[in-house]
Amino acid sequence: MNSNTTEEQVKQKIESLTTLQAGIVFGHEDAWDKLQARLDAKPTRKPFPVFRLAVAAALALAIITIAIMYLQPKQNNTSPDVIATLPNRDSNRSDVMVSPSNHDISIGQDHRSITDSFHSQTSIASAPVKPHHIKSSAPQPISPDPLVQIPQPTTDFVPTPAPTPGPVMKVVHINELGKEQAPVYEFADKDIPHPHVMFKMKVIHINNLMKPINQDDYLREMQNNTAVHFPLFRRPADRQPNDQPRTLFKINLSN
Amino acid sequence: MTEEKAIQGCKKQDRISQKFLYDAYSDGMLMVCVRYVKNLPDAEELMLNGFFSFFRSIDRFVYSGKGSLVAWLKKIMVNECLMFLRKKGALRLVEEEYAGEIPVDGGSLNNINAGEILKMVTALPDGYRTVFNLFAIEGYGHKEIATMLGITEGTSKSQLNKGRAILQQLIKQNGCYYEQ
Repeated sequence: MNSNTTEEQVKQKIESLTTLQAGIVFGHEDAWDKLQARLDAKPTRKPFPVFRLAVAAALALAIITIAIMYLQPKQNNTSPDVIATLPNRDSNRSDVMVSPSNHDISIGQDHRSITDSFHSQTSIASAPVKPHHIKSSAPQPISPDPLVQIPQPTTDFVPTPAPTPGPVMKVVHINELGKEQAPVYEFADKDIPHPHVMFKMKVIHINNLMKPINQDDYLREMQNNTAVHFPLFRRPADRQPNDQPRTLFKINLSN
Repeated sequence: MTEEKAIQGCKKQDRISQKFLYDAYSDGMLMVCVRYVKNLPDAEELMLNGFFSFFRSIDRFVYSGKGSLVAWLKKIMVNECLMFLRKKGALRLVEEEYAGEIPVDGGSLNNINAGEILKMVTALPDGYRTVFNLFAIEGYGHKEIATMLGITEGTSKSQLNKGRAILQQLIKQNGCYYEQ
């Protein structure tokens, strides 16, 4: 600016200006009092956010709990008190009992205790309708190959080789810990031209750890040793002279 | 009490020393704030904010002779004013290209008193006034002004030129003439 001199004059005049000359009424002492009050005021610390901390802790706890629940490996804690009851939906089959025979048990090593206890329980449960025709047999060694574990025929037992989809039976109660009951049994064949009925039983809960099994995966379950088979028998009173009293009762054990 | 002793007292939070410095410089600092902010209550508040910041941060101040305290205080006040204007949105300046210096007739301000000049400066729009104050009164360069206001150097120069032109008009209206 050519008018440097002018700007210098502006600067000089402005810098030399006092409030009095500018006609500014300034409450000097009042302003000092305000400033003093601000200087005296201790810096206020914000209160410790207890509520926020509590909420955060609760959330963290909830998340950890959920994570533990979902990340824990599932265990088969089935108690030995495994009881299978048959439905009374179909009169022809509601009276079928579970045989203590272990011919048809095709399970892995983990399921032995279950089936053993099952046998002992079923013996008690079937007391009113004792299958006197059942011949007890010594326990067969469990084959490591699940495909080979199809029950061997005996004089009084003819297993059905494979189940086919059929009508639905009602409830399986497996030990007292199972809160829900499996909604269905399945008969292999509704009309049953032969006395050997394959029951396929869905197990919903075994100690709350079992999930419903897909029946279509039957063979795969067999291969994976996730199925337990029990021979079933009709009541002696309902038996026909030529009726084969046994049938195969299967509990699917899924992981 | 000397200035230096007062500063030492302020570092110990001595209220008498603080009052001494306040009494000595509050008027001048209020005038600094008035140049940037038209409204007197706002200027007074900014001046108090400036003194508060000064007393709080006085440990960082190193006294290096007469004038150093005023310069330090002025810097604080200018910063307070710029923050205020920025919050108010008065410093949202449109980017402009510098179109060269506007020729200004020289003139004499002998016939105008300081109060009149202050009124003319404060009559300028916010952007022009701020740049004019920073450049012509505080002595900052365009680069510094651009950094302080977040604008380009060209915008700073352009704002200054336009401010000068308006100021020239106002001075002329008061019957004064620029001298070569």
